[in-house]
This record gives sequence, C-alpha cells and structure tokens, in this order.
Amino acid sequence: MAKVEVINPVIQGFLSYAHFDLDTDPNLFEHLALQLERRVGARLLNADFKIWRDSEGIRTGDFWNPAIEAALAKSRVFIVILTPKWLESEYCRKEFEIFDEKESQIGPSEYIAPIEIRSLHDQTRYFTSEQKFIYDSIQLRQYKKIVPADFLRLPPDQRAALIDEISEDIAGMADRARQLEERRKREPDAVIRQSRSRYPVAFDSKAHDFSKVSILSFAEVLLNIPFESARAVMAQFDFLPKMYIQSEHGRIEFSVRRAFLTLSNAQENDLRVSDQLSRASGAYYVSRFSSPNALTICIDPYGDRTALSDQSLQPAQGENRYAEIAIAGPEVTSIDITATLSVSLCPEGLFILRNKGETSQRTARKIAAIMSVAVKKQIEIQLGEILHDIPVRERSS
Amino acid sequence: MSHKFQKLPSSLDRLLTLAQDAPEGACSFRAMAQAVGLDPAKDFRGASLRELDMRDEDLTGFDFSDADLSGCDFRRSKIEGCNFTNADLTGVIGLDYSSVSVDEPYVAQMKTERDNDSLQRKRGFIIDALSGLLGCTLTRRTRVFYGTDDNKIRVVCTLSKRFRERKSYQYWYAFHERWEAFLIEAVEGRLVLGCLDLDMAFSIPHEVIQDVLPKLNKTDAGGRRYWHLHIRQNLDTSDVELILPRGGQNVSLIEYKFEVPRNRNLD
Repeated sequence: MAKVEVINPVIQGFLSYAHFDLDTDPNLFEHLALQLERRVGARLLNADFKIWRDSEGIRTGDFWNPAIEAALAKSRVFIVILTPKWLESEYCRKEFEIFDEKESQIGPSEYIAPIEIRSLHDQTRYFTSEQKFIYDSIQLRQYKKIVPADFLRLPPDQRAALIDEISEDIAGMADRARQLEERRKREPDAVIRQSRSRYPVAFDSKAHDFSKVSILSFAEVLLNIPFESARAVMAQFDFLPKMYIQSEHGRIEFSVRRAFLTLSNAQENDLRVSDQLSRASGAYYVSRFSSPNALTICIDPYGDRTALSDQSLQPAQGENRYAEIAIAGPEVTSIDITATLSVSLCPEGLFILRNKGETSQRTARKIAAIMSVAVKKQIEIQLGEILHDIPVRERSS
Repeated sequence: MSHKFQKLPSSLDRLLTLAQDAPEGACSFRAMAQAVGLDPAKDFRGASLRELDMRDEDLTGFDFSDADLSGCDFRRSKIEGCNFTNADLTGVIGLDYSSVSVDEPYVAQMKTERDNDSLQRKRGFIIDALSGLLGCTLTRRTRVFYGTDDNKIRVVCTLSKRFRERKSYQYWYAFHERWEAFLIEAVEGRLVLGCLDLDMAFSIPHEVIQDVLPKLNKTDAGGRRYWHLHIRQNLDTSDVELILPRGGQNVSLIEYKFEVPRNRNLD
C-alpha cells in the first residue's frame, strides 16, 4: 500500500533583521532561524512552523518589494532581531509598522517577539522621533536579550535552553493565532475583540487623581410611559475616562473597561430583552454567575472608544441621551425594579519611578492587573452605595 | 474622600518592591494578590485580566467567574479548583478543557479524580435506568453522549450538584451548541438532567428544549456557546420547574421525572 504523507498546515513567522547584522554575525542568524523553526514547530500539534526571511536580498534600494508585503500578510508572528542597525533601517521599521497595524486585528495579546542582540539603551538620545516611537513600542513588549558573542560561546545545552525559552513564547503566539483563525472560519459572525492598545509611555495629563474624584459621574435608569402594553427601560451612565493612583515608587493609570448592569424585578418574568441592544452598540445581554436569573447587560465601549466614559450606552434611535436596555410589562413600576451596577477596571499604564532593578513586562502587567482588582475592591467597599444602587425612576414624558 | 483610598498607593509600592526584590519569574500572581490583601476565592470574579502571562502560576482555587481572560496564557499553570464559569476565554491558550470544563458548573469545581469517577458512576446509574425505561440499550459515545446502535435514539446526560446557598434555583446546567447538534440528528433525542444528591433525573424531549432555548440565558465563552438551565422546586406546588429568565411561563418537569437507583457514595 502506498504511504500517504500527511502535510501539516504551515504557520509562518516573519524574521525582521538588518542585513548589516546578518553580515556581522552570520552564524548567529543561521542558528537562530533554524533552531526557532525546529523548536517552535516541535511544540505545535498538526502544524508546522516556517520562518520567512529575506534570504535573496530583495530588501535593497528605494523600491519596496511587494513580496515583503505579501510575506507579512501571510505571517502570524513577527520576530524582530533588535539592534541599532535594525532601528536605523527604513525597511525594517516599515516591516514593523505594517505588522504592528495588522497585529491588533489578529486578536487579543501579542504576536511580535523582539530579540535584542545589541543594546540600544544608551543611545536613546540619538533617536529620531520615528525611531523613538518604534523603540518605545518594542520596550513595552515582552522581549528577550541575546548577546551574540556570549551566545555563540555558550555550551550547546545552554544555548538550546535559551532558544527554547524564546520558542515557547513564539509557539504560544502561533497557537493563539491558529485558534482564533479557526474560530473565525467556524463562526464568521463572531465578534472577536482586538488586542488592547499598548500601554502609553508618558503620563496622561488629563487623568484624574482617583482619591479626589468619583468614578461614576452620572447613572440613571428610567421607565418610559406604557406604550402598546409595554414599558421601555432606558438607562445612561457617565464614567470618568481615566484615573490614576500615585505612590512613592510609581503611578498606575486605569479606566473602566466594562460594566455590568443587572436588572431584577419583583414581578418575576415581567422584564425581558430589548431588540434595540446589539453587540454592535457595545452593550449585550449576558448571564452572570453571581445572578443567573436577573437580566444582565454587559456594557463595553462602543465605536472607537477603548474605555467607558461619557454616555457609555449608545443612545437609542430618536433619543438624545438614553439607551433602551429592556422591556417591562405595563404593570411594572420603578419601585419593582432594582438596578445594580458593577465595573471592571482596566490598567492603562504602569509607570515605575524608582527602579531598583529591572521589572519585566510580564511582571509589570500582573502588577497593573492586580492593582486594578484592588482598586475595584476598594471602590466596592467604600463606594458600594454609588455603584450598586442605581436610581430607577418614572419618566415624566 | 482621600482617606478612604489611602491604602492604594501603599499597595502599589508593596507590589513594586515585591517585584523588584524577587528574582525574575519568582514573583507569583498569587503572592502579589496576597500582598495587597486580595482573596483568590472571591476578589477576581468579573476582573479584567486580559492578556496576562500566567505560565507556571499556581492558580489553585482562584475564582475567575465572569472575568475577562481573553488572550491569557495558562500553559503549565495549576488550575485545580479554578472557576472559569462565564469567563471570556477568547484567544486563551494552555487551558486543559478536560480539567476545567464549563460543561457542568459543578465539574469546574471538581478537585480530584475521585470526584470525577463519582460523577461518571452517577451518570452510569442514570443511563441504566433510562435504558430500562425506553426499552433499549444506550451505549456511551463520549462523557455525556449516549445512543442506541442505530443512532436513532440519542441522549445527552448532564449532572449538577445542589446549590444550597441559592434561593432562586437548586440545580444548574449548561446546554452546549454541540449537544444540540448531536440531538438534532436523532429520531428521538433526550436531554437528561441528573441531580447528584437525588435518586431521580429528568428526561426532557429534545423538542421541548428547542422550544425553550430562546428564553434561556446564553454565554459565549471563547467560541463555546451554551445556554444556562436552572431548575428549582416550587415550594407552593411541589412542582419542579425549568426557569425561563427571558420571558414565558416556567416549564414543569414533573412529567419528565424518572427514578434512579440511589448511589450512597455520592451523598
């Protein structure tokens, strides 16, 4: 019987590097490319990993070769060999910019893996504004450092261990990209949220001191007058767009990323969903573990917004301010409805002022996430009444 | 108002100090949570934890229900006893769905292999009883799927513990889209809801389930869509009913009830 060869789908990674560096350390590049292909591939089930790199030198002169753009479009992971020459190269920066734009569309999390082989830290004063922007963006990612001379002197097992660490990061990115791609095929209409915007690198001067302001500046739920045997339940919330907490060693900025409005009715089953609410408007119905029988609306930022702020709910058609969030029976009154709101905070930036040692991006993100949970807890303890009992009133006209 | 939040700056400093003093990778998520007085069993419900690298973390006992975990990496993390119910798991990698199944809310809280064995034994008793009732042999296809050899009769069997602390319902199940796809192919399809502490179960015809699905709450968790089925005992009428939170009259389940031999080990 003829042997049937199974051909695995290929997940492509794009290797972005400066030719100058390749000429300087050819052994390192050969070793990295080969080993990354093998070790990332070894971690993937029913898929192979291939690295695309400009082995034919098409990235020369002023002409931007469309083959590079095609390779970038096909790639799921972008591997940067970060050096001064990489940052100097217009080609390399353009590759990065194209993939950086594409990355947010792949799905949540990161798909760019920087490997720093020559430090740029001491040369930041020579950066152009464009170089600075790209360097800052790379610094905000989880990146690995390899010193070529040291690396090539490492015994094979240590060298393998180092490449293995990088491979695990890249394999995770490849796996996630594959998973999201399959889901899009399976559910073409699924709304998959994009990657969060990367943390800013400067304080936001418009952020408010959390200790001096209230996170929620307006909240109201209204019951419209009965119309055709039903009463529309309307609501609106205004949140502060960004707040900060300042400490001796650092500062964290955060915003309200998501809110849950839970409506319960003393007259059971007399509160139902409204057709006006759709995922496109940023608000949709969910079932909450903590209150499975109530009608719960998850409120996400709509349009281009990344956080909840003024008019968190998109106003209904023909309304200037309020959104229709549910339909109640004609007998339901404002006394029957209880509206509770809880928020989920999202860290927007963590700035470390006095750095005794280096804090990795991995750890920094955990600190930011844990702080946002701690802040939420404090809000619930201290301001529970504001967040939980949203006034419900009858609309007069 | 400032005095109310005076703890927060010091919490931030505590975390920064902890992270900087510990060697890379040694500062765990759990240690950081504890350093600022957070309780893993309740403070992380509904939290925004997007795109965190949780590799190698010990997350035993964390309650992530309703949390946003999209893009998180859980490879090699310890997740026994974690609750992922209703969490947003879009783009999550490294989660072993067999050990943190959201199929049955109770299973998500299972801690040992022995518990899982008990569940499967209970399921076996239910299927035996149902086979006798239907006059056919039901063969196991997967953990929850059963069917006759000709596939004309198909059964999905799911279990729930009693939620004693809940007033509005006593049992809670999830009904998945893939279960719907399995039952729709049958000449006779049944959804069987088992109660871990009772010697009875409910065998509900697929058509009844199809009718009520639009009236149930639904969750979309990382491509796994499922409806929530809550059952309660009506103390006034002694009826057992399926709650329809999105309108309509609750469905009485009494006519679908059947006896199951008692399994003493599960009490």
